[in-house]
Amino acid sequence: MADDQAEYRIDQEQDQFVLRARSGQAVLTVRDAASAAHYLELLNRAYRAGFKAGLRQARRG
Amino acid sequence: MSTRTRKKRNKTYRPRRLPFQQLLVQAVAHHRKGRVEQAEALYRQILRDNPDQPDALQFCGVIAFHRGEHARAQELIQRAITLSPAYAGAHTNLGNIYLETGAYQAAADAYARAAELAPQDPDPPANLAVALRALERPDEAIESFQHALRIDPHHEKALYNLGCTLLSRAGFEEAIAVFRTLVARHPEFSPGYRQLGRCLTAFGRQDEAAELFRSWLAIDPDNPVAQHHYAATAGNAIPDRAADGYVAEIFDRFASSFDAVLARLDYRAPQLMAEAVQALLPAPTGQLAVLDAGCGTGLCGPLLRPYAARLIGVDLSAGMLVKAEQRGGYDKLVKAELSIFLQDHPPAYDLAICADTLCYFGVLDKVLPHLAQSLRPGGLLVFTVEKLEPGQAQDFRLNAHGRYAHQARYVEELLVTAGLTEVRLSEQILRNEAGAPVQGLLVSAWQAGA
Repeated sequence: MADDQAEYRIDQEQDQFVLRARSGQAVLTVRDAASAAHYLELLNRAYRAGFKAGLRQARRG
Repeated sequence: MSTRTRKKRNKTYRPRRLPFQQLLVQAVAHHRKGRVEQAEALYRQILRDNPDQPDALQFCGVIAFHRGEHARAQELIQRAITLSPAYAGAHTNLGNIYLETGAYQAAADAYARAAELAPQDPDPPANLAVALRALERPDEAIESFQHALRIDPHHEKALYNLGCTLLSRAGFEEAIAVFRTLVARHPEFSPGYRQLGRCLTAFGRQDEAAELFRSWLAIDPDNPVAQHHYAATAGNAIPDRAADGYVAEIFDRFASSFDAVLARLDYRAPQLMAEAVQALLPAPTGQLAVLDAGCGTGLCGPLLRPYAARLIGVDLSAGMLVKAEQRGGYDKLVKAELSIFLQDHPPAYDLAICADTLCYFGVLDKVLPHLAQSLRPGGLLVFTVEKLEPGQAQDFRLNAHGRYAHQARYVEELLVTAGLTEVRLSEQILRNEAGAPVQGLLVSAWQAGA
C-alpha cells in the first residue's frame, strides 16, 4: 500500500526505478526493485530524522 | 701567572692568522653540522687570502646550490674544477647541480668523470646510475648501480635505487631480492621496508608482506606507515581510516616525485573530475566558491579555476601543499584533516570535489555528510572512490596496498541519507597499478535546490 505521508516515492521508468522527492526531484536511480525499496525506506527514515543524523540513524530505523 | 707576566705577553700578542687548511677543517665541520652561515664565513675568509683555493670555492658552490642559486653554484664549482681538474668531489657536486636542473646528460658526464678519478669510491657510480635512469637508459643504470655495489656491497642508496630500477623494468623477483638485502643490511632504513612491502603486496604475497611489516614494527613500533600496512596486510585491527600521521608521512615524502609517478600510473582522477564538472555545470563564468578537498599537488586546480571566484584547497600534507602553491591557481591552501576542516565551516561552496582522497578513509559516515553539508543549496559534489566488488558483506575494505575500497551501495546510502539528490555513480578506471587497472566509482550528487 502506498504511504501518502511519505516524502519519497518510486517511479518506474523503462527498466529503471527512480526515487523521487515529493517535489519531483530525482534522488537516485537504480536498476532493481529490491534496491529501490531499500533506498525508499532509508530515505524516508533519514527525512523523518531531519537528515542530520545521517546513515547510522536511518539504518537503525 | 703574575700580572707582570700577563702584561708582557699581552704586549707581544698579535692576532694569529690560522693557516687556510685549519680554517678549512673548521669550516667543513660547521658545514657538516648544518651551521651553514658559519661555514660560509670561513670559506669566504679563506678565499680572501687564497682566491684560487678549490675546496673553499666548491663548498661555497654547494652552499649556493642549496640556496637555489644554481648558476652561481655552477660557476664556483666549475672554477674549482678548472683549478684542480682531478678534484672528484667537485665533479660530483657539479653533477648534482646538473641533475637537479634536469641536465641529465651533463650530470652523467660529471659523475662518470668523478668515477674515473675516484675508482674506489662507490658514490660516483651510484650517482651516475641515477642520471642514467633519468636518461631512460635503465640497463646502463643497473650496471652502474651494480658497479657501486661491487665497491661497497652495503651501499644503501645503490641498493634502494637498484631495486626501484629493476621494479620499473618488471624485474620483480630481482627487485624483491635486492630490497630484501637492503632491509637485512639497513634495518633502520624505512624506505626499504616500504618498497619491499609494496612489491610483495602488488604480487599477491600478502603473508610475506604482513611478516615484513611486523618485523618493521618490531624495530619502529610507532611508525604510522608500518602500523597502517601491517593492518592492511595482516587484516588485524583495521582502522576506520588511515591515520593522519600515515597520510602526512607518505605524501610529504612523495611530494617531489608525485606528478611524475602519477603520470606513469596513467592517473585519471583529475581528468574524470573535469569531465564530470563540465557535463553537470553550465559553461564556467568564474563565479563559484569551489573546494578542492584533498588537493594534493593541485592537479585539479587548473581544471577548476575557470569555474571559481574563489578556489580553496585542503590537504593534510604540507609537502603536497607546497607543490600546489608552486603550481598556483588557488586562492587559499589549508593544511588540515578534511573532516575537521569541514565541520568547522558552514555551507560555503557551490562546488566541492574530492579526487582520490576518500581511499584513505574506510568509514565515510562523517566525511561524506560533512562534504554534503559544506555545499550551499544547489551545490554540486563530485568525488572518486575505489570500488569494492558487490557481494561483500562489509561497506568497505582496507586492501593490502593500503587504500580502502568502498561498496557502491554504501556510498549511495550515505549520500541520500545526507539529503543529497540526483546521486549518480559511474564505474571508471582510476589508474593502473602493478600493470592492472584500479576500478573506481566516479560519484556526483547535488545539494537540494536554491
